[in-house]
Amino acid sequence: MNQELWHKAKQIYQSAIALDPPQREAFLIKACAGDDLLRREVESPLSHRPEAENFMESPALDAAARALAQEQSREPDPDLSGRSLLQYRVEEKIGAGGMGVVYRARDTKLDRQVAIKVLPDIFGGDLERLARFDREARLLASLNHANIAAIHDLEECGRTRFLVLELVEGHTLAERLHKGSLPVEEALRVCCQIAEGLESAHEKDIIHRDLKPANIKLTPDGKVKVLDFGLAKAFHREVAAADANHPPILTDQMTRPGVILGTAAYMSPEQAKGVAADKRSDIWSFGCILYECLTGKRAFEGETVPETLAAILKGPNYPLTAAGWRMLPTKAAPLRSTSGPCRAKAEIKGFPMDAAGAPAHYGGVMAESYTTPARTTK
Amino acid sequence: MTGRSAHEVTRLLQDWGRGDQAALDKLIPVVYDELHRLAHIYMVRERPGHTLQSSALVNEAYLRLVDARNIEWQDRAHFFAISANVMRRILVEFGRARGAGKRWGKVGKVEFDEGRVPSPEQGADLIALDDALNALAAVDPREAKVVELRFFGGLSAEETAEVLKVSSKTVLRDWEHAKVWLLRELRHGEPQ
Repeated sequence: MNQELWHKAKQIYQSAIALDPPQREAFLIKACAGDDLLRREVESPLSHRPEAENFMESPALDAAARALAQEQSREPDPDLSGRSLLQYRVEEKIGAGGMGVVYRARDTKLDRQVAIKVLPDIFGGDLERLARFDREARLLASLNHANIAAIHDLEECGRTRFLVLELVEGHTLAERLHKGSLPVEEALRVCCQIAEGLESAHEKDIIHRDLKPANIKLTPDGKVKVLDFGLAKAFHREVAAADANHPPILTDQMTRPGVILGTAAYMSPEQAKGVAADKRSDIWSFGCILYECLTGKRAFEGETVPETLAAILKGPNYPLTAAGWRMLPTKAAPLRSTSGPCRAKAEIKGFPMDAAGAPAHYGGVMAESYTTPARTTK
Repeated sequence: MTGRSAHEVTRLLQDWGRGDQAALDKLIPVVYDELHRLAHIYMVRERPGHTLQSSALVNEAYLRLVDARNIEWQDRAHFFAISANVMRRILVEFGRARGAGKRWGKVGKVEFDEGRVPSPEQGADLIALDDALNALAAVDPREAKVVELRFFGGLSAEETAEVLKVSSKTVLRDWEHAKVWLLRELRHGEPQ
């Protein structure tokens, strides 16, 4: 089409749409003055007007992201059961989460059962991120504690990348909590072990960042193992420091697949605000878990993710203040005798331990941490 | 953003605007990262009971990629123009690589939680749109720029007007016309 025709047609089109539809016909006849080609160039776009309403209304980045999401949800990861990856014989799928599908497998070299977590291809060929993930995974593999499920290795077989993990049998704490609160002794036994694991990781400056009941396994022989330590960070870039002009609305924590209410409920205020997590975030999450074990209720509830986050951010009226903890049923006596590790943890944080017991201290630590944000926890 | 600050992205965009081809290669992973991030949100949203404000998310993503707050007022227009062009190149290239001849990246409202896979015929795709936009640029460069800035660059009508040094009203008129014309082009599949 030549420019002259184009501009004529555009001008007539723009005048035509300013008119009421019944008047357009007469206008077009007059304006096009028998030029059929011109008239077609006006009428054909006009006929597409209703359809064009939604066309290009959300920007290209949105269209591309939707296409990508659809592509990814259409192509579920193939079930690797029965296959061999390096020396690992994959047995059965035992779970799937935002950070990959988990299989039970046999390490034929070391002759032991392991879990392998097949990583989704989320880095889009970004070598820098892959390298960072690699570094993180190796750092996490250095964690060696009875209450932390070990990461044995990060392997690559063809295009499949996977983590080799300690296989932990049993139910998750989340599954247990569905049935209600735990007896005080059991709650403490479980939480003290979580605290021991946390403590040991924090000593190495490794932060879990996604501590929640679904990431805690209770083994049949009474051991507690924290899963997925630090993986949230390895997978997702750290959120930049808070920007007063442009506070992020959502963080990576909330944006990866599988992040549902169950994760938001245990987030610290920093995480809810989208600021980088630190040790205090883990302690916060720990406090929420302890609270839930004892009461059977979530410390922070909301029907939706934003509502839950709003509850967390609401301020000092949350139930985890020292006052909130004191409202727990009179369980102080057994708490005193069994709160060793929690006591140690609280002392490291610079909070003198007294007879009130670990929960009160954790409540106190949390309340203090968040009312005095400048306080450093290293 | 692969550990890159918005400031760095801004610098890369400016470098590219000055003719540094290598800057584009460094921008690609940043945009991909943002794309994957958004895609993940949409996948979460697909689950029942999850509704997120997608327009807010997209605006946020654009802000992270194209942050003009620290740009001198005189340079803003140039910066926006560069960013929109970079976004267009990267997204279309991404679509080409993914699509491998298939239609890819439906341009229009997608009812994501209906659980239906829209048939390719239902919508236009990014690659065909890019071609149609080139045809548009041949007859009406300004109108094509309006589309590049708004659709690929994520700019508002006001920002687009600022870049093109025309009124917002002109931008909106061009935009309205471009939409119907491009849609017709894509429907008929025959460049005139």
